[in-house]
Amino acid sequence: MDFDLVAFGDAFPRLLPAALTNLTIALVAMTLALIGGTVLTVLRTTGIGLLTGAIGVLISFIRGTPILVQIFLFYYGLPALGLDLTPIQAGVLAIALNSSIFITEIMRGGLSGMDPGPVEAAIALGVRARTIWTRVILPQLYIRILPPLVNELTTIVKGTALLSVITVVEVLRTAQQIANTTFRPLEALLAAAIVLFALNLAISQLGRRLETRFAARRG
Amino acid sequence: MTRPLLKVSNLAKSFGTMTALRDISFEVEAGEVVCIIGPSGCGKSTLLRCINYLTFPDGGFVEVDGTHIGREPGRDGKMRMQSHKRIDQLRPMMGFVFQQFNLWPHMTVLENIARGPVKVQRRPREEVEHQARALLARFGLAGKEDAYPSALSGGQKQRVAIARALAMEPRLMLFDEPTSALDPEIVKEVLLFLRELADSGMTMVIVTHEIGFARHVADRVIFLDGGLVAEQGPARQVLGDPQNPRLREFLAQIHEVAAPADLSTPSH
Repeated sequence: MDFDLVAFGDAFPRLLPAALTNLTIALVAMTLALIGGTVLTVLRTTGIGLLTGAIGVLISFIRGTPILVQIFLFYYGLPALGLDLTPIQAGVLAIALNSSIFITEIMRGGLSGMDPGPVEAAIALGVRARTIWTRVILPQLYIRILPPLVNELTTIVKGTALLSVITVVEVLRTAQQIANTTFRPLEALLAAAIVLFALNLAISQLGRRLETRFAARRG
Repeated sequence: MTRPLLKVSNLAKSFGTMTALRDISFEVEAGEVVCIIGPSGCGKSTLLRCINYLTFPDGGFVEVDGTHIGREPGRDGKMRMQSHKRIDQLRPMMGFVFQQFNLWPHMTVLENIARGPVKVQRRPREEVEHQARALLARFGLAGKEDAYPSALSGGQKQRVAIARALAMEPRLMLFDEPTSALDPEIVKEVLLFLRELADSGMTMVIVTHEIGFARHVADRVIFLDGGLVAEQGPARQVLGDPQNPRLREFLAQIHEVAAPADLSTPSH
């Protein structure tokens, strides 16, 4: 097989700084998605028919369309609506919305399996509904759904590579640029895969540590 | 005549077609210990939950030291529901202890106890933590401040739950089958502890299956049957010389299953 180890090795010095872009995008998108997912989850418990109906439509649309299409829609659609966004901003928003939907579904599953007792205890002490959400329900819920949340973060990291299609210079696009000059696409792409894999490996390890750390606080 | 600390009048509650409470009225004087007994499904737990509005009753009134909670008669004589905010404000007058303890698993023991007074009553954290530590020491739980509930035994969890309720300095305590989720060997430990609490003068309403405990600790016993108070009176009279045939049957059944915990002599 014709595999150029030198070209493979030479790709890393350019890919590693690009990986920082992927990681930054992923962390920002994850933060927004956590906030979005939490807000959606709380809104869905209000039982206001119109609201839960609208959220239901949004959920089925996001789940039923490819994320690549959603990214394009944000990239071309938001400027058309008058929002002047850089490709990175549009991409982050697209990924964050997509991920919010999956996170609110994860949270709903987590909620339905939760013991209502601690909430009743808070009610009995006169704790207000808002404080019950922020101090009793959500902390327990996050601890409970930590494994699927970490999984979601790795999905987001993989999703950042998709932003190469809207001109974001991240790991995949950098690899393509390298390939264009070296005419060695396999080496550059394999290196890109390894860089992204290393990122996700680090994230899963961190997730496992968090899980162990919070094990005692699980209900 | 002194005003009763807790006055329950004509409380009623149905779940769909199932009537849990028909028409319940009773009073509890300050310092009194009242045990509520009755067969499964007689509405004992529902009654307790209706008293602090964990479950909203369909009708009737609850008064704590003369203050209505939940539903109050207006000046025009019509009933008026209080706002949720008002009910939240009044609930801490009653401490509630659950069968399943219901500690907050993500908080340390100290935080479980301190959170209510700090967040709800806006008392200074330092003072509250000092009080919480004193409660833990009194309850034989010194050194457990930083433990999470998952590291505690059932009996310890229940004592923390009681400490959490007491930290709010309630006027009275409601206990919903406080020993039913405990291993048999731990039941006595918690019952002795409840007796100490009763001896300290705390007003207590306890839903329980522990007839022996009721006999030795309760001033009064209320027997619920079919959503009504079927019999009530001094513990010795109700349990020693029951008049209601259903109560006789109930007591006979209970004695068959288990000898009541002997609480006549303290173990320490």
